[in-house]
Amino acid sequence: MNEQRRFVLKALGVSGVSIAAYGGYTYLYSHKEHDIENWFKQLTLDPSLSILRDQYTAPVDQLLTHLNAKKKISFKDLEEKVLASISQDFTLDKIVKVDQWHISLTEALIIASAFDVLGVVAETKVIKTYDNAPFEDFLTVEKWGPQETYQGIKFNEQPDGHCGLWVVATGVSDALQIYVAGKKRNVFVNEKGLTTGIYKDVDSFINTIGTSQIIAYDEINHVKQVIGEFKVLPPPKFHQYDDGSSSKVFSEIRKWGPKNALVGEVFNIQPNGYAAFWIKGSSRSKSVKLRFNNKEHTTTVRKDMITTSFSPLNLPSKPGKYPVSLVSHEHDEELLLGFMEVR
Amino acid sequence: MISDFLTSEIKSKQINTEVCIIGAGAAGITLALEFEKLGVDNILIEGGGLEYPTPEQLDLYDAAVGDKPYPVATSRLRYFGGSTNHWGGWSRALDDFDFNQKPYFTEKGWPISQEAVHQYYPKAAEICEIPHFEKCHNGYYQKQLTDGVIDWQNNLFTNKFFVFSPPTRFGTKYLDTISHSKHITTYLNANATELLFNGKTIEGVVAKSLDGKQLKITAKHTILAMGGLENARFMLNNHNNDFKQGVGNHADWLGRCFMDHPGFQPIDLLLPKGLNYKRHLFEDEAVMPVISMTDEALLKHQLNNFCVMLGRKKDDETLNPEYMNNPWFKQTAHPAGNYNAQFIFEPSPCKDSRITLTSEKDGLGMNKLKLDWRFNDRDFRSLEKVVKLMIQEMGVTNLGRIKWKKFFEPKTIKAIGGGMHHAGTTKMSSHPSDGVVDENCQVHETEGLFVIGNSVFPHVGFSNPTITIVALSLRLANHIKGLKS
Repeated sequence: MNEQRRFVLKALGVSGVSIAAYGGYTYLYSHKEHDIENWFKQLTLDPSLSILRDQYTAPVDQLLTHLNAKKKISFKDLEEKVLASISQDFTLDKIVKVDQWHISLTEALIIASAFDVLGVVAETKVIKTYDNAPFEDFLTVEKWGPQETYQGIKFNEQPDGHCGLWVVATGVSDALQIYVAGKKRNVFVNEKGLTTGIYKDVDSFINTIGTSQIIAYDEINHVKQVIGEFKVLPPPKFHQYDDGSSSKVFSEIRKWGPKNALVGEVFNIQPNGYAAFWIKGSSRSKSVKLRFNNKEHTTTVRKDMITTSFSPLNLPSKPGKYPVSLVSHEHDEELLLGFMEVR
Repeated sequence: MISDFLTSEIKSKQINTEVCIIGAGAAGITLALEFEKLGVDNILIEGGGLEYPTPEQLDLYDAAVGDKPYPVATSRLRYFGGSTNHWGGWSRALDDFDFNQKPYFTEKGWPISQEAVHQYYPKAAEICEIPHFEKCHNGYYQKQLTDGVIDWQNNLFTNKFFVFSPPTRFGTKYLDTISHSKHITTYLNANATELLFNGKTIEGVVAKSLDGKQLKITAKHTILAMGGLENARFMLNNHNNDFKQGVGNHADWLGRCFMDHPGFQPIDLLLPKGLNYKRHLFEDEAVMPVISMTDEALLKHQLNNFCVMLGRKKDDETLNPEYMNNPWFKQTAHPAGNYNAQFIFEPSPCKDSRITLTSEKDGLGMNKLKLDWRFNDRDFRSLEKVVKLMIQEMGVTNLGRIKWKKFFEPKTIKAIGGGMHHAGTTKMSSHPSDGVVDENCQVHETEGLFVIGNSVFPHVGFSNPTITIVALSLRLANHIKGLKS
């Protein structure tokens, strides 16, 4: 038990029998009759429950009446009566609400009696937060990603515009939280681990060169662990057009392909049967299109790669040299990559 | 063969087929594939293309809402594969209870037996790529999956189970089969705009692209498989002298009884630690146990169906796990933990929960829809009764304790979210006065016009609908094949 975590009801008076938690409880648990007040000393009750004390006058008497028990009673008999009484209370809807919790009248009377007899000693409560959680490895992280991007370039962009991060790990609990750059992020737990991401502050995040820690916080066990550091790298070099001007959106293109295909051939065929182009380079804009055969296709822009795939219905039906270009309507730019030769 | 209205030349102005299917989502694709196997020529028309819709296409889903917010546009996907393109894969058959008539619901339930649908689940599971779907319902998980679930010692609460499709993206998975099929002709970017009738007998449909191309498809049977909102919108938009208030609106049910699966988190719990009511691997398959009630108990207590998923949460300030160290919990499993609880509950059909048409037109000249999602008060009372029974059950057995923290108030009701399962707007009934389609999904008082999808569900239970939509589609394909022969 975390000593800082709990208030425990403690005896203010000194009883004739020294009770030390469980050991004392074992000693007292016999057929020998004891004052019911001794039984209260073993209870584990948060001081916030002490509000029940004010709801009952002479709660011990009310408890004894409710249980049909005497003040001197063996703890074994007492506990049997308590159990039966709790069950009966719930059956008969004798329920008491404390901080919206629904407990039996028997429990409420026990709690009120215990606080009435013993009072309460409150320990200083340390509110547990992400900031004061100790570092301790509680996740087994197999891999995570993406781990870096260029300044201004979104990584693993999702349909709603946020940048996604994924973590493959074991030991992920329901109450796991993820902090990136010191801010709590949305978390979706799955069988393999979790996904998280950068949402509202995505623009400032990707535009700030440097590293940001990704930290997992287990709220239940109050521990945190560094998963890794995400890097925002300085921007790549932009493409230089023949007239000497620099592109505002496209990086230098190192390679692209495929450059040749046969009529009717689904080139670079994807698992879904689509044809695909790849371009080694990047773009500041995620909404760039790839123009081919008089049609613009949606692309996926990654840190160092732009890809697009499209239905075979959009393939050329005649041989020829077909221009392949990247288009950014946002920036009013078109970058001709070259030509695909269809034979 | 697949043709795209936007990129291909459409040579004919009119074509003829046996069956025209409108909408290539889970239902439409299942029907087309089944007709292919049965040797029935069919045309599948899809309003979108093969890729995520363009802003212009998305605008066709623009809609107004009533007092309660609802993500009408984003809860649907207008392209090949339909909503399976963002499906989470959750799968579960409807319970027997869901097919029972519930006299305490104001609107009637399924006019067909549970068996009429259940016989198609095995094949539906194959289509949805779920290897052992039957384990949810044949008692296997009840017997075998005992770790991390409550061993209910009563006839009230019970554990039920979800299984998961990968999820199957119907558009991607079945594109190749459809492309190379013998009996399926598919048109993309072909939006159905008008139903063609001879009296009350369907003759076909007019399909248009957003750039103005048009094709008349004549067919002996036409099936609307456009989704729970679009089916009703399309039918409301189609009115003539024979169908003055819209096709299928003879008894003023069309567009009414809109339902979705509401989620609500009314309680937290203190229970033994280690409960695993969430999606996890069991015998190498993804399974998710949920807490629910036996059919008998639901009927006895006149409840709506429901399920509960538990998630761990940090220790409560008042009743934390150590509270269960007290002597009256000696026989309860230890250690304990605090949990939150996500309830998914069945809405009862509410006549005022409906879609209507606004005066605003979309890019195809059709009136846009307005969704006014409402609940019957009994739905809230039912869930409250469930919570009370849960408090009692967990108290009597000393299994745990419950914190009832959230209640149904205007503010919390407004904030209730749904599962994006649009149901009930063309509900099935045996008599024309009680619904829109008959037991075979044929629109009452018409000949040859069918509707399929979640919109025909008169009662919805709590199960996610996709696999039942697929099962019903298989049933409809067999029915039409029977009519043909």
